[in-house]
Amino acid sequence: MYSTNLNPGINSLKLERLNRLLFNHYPDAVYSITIDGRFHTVNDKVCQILQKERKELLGKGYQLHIHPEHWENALQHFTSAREGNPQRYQTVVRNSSGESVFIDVTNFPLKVGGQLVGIFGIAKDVTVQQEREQALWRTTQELQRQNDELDLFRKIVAHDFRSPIARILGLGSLLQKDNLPPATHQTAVSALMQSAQQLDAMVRDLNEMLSLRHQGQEARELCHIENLVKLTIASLQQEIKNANASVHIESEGPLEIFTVKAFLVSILHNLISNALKYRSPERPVEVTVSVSKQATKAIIAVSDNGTGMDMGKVGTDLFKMYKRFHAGVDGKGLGLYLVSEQVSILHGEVKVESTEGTGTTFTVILPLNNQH
Amino acid sequence: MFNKVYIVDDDEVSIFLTEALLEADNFASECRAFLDAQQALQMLLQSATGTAPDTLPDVIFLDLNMPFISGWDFLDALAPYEQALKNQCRIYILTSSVDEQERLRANETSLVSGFLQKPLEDQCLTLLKESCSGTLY
Repeated sequence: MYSTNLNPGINSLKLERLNRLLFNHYPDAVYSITIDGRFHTVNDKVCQILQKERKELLGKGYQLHIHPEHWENALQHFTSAREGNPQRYQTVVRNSSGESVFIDVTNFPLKVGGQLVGIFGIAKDVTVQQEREQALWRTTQELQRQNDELDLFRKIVAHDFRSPIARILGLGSLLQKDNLPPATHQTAVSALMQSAQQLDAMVRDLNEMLSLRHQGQEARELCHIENLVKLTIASLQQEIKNANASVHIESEGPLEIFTVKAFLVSILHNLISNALKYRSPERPVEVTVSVSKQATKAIIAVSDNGTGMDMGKVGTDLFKMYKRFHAGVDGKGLGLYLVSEQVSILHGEVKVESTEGTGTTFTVILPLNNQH
Repeated sequence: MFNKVYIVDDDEVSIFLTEALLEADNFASECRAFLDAQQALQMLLQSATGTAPDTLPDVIFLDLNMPFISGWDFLDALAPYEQALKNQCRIYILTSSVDEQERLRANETSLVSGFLQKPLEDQCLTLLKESCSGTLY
């Protein structure tokens, strides 16, 4: 043949030696496994991936190197290949340093003279692709979240910010009219002021909310829950006095939590001030803040004897932004949205129970030790 | 000048403002405000079905963003009585929202005669009076 004449050296290579070279230097892991699951041959890449010497692997069970979470799945595929069916699947092995390596496996039944003697396979290290895929997935999720948020902000601007602005404009043009009755003039001026204050508060809230995301990375510290409750109650002294309310703390003893202090204070502040705000005019206002521990979690419950809500009507809208469920109470509808956002950043959950006319209990459950 | 106007809005300041502007404009001889949309709905349904002596208003200014019953819910509840309402009563959405989607939705809702943005302007009130005179009576 033309080519062999040009390169006579290659002719001296025996097929078996070629195979051996290919086997050892193939860039993916190549191996054979006996019918009872022990490595029979392994190439250099197998040793490299598992960080083992060849002699440490040969004759030993392959299963030892599979990540325990994938044992069952790997065994199924192995059994199936042993029954004569080629297999292609992804699994995870662990190297000597305990790191996970994602591999894409192809296993063939290995037959000698029609007799099945084991399994012959190739495994490709796909850890980098896997990590890339995960990073891509995280980026997609983040993008999705930011898009949702953008849409939310568009709605806030279109609906909620326009509302006090429209009032200010309307009140302004009303005040420009001649012959306005003095009482109307008076009301218009104070409503103008109130609307401007509301707009101001909304801008502050929005700013606080936007900075929430970055604060998620904020340092966690050890917080004494009961002390923070007392601190919050003290900061609400004026509101408590105005509502003529009594606020109790129930605690099973000191409980410390490793968390973002500013969030915890903001959550307590929002829940207690809500309890005061939605009071029933029919009875003296009583608010109870109870703190307890359940396994590795702190349970903080804020109960009131206020107006309560019909949970059937309120449904899942309660924690949405700028949703309000009480007529006649001044509220911007942002508080519970903030609470739910903060609780979710702290990996906790918030629950609500309420009966119309009887009262409401908000329960916040937070992990005591909140590392990311 | 109209006989009777309803304002449906959950916001007191907004109601005060709309009322004051209507009054300054001599828009209607009777103006009734509802903080609770449910109550307004009941009144209207009773008038439409003739179970109450109250006559239907000539004009309704309806807010959209209200707790429990939104303006859209309100319109949905009125939809079965469209024939009874149509020739007697004009419903205008009066909202502070500048959401284009809401305007489009209003255009597609046959019960809605117009989409007005808060605050109500004198010019707009004059137009309303002109457009309604002759067609209603």
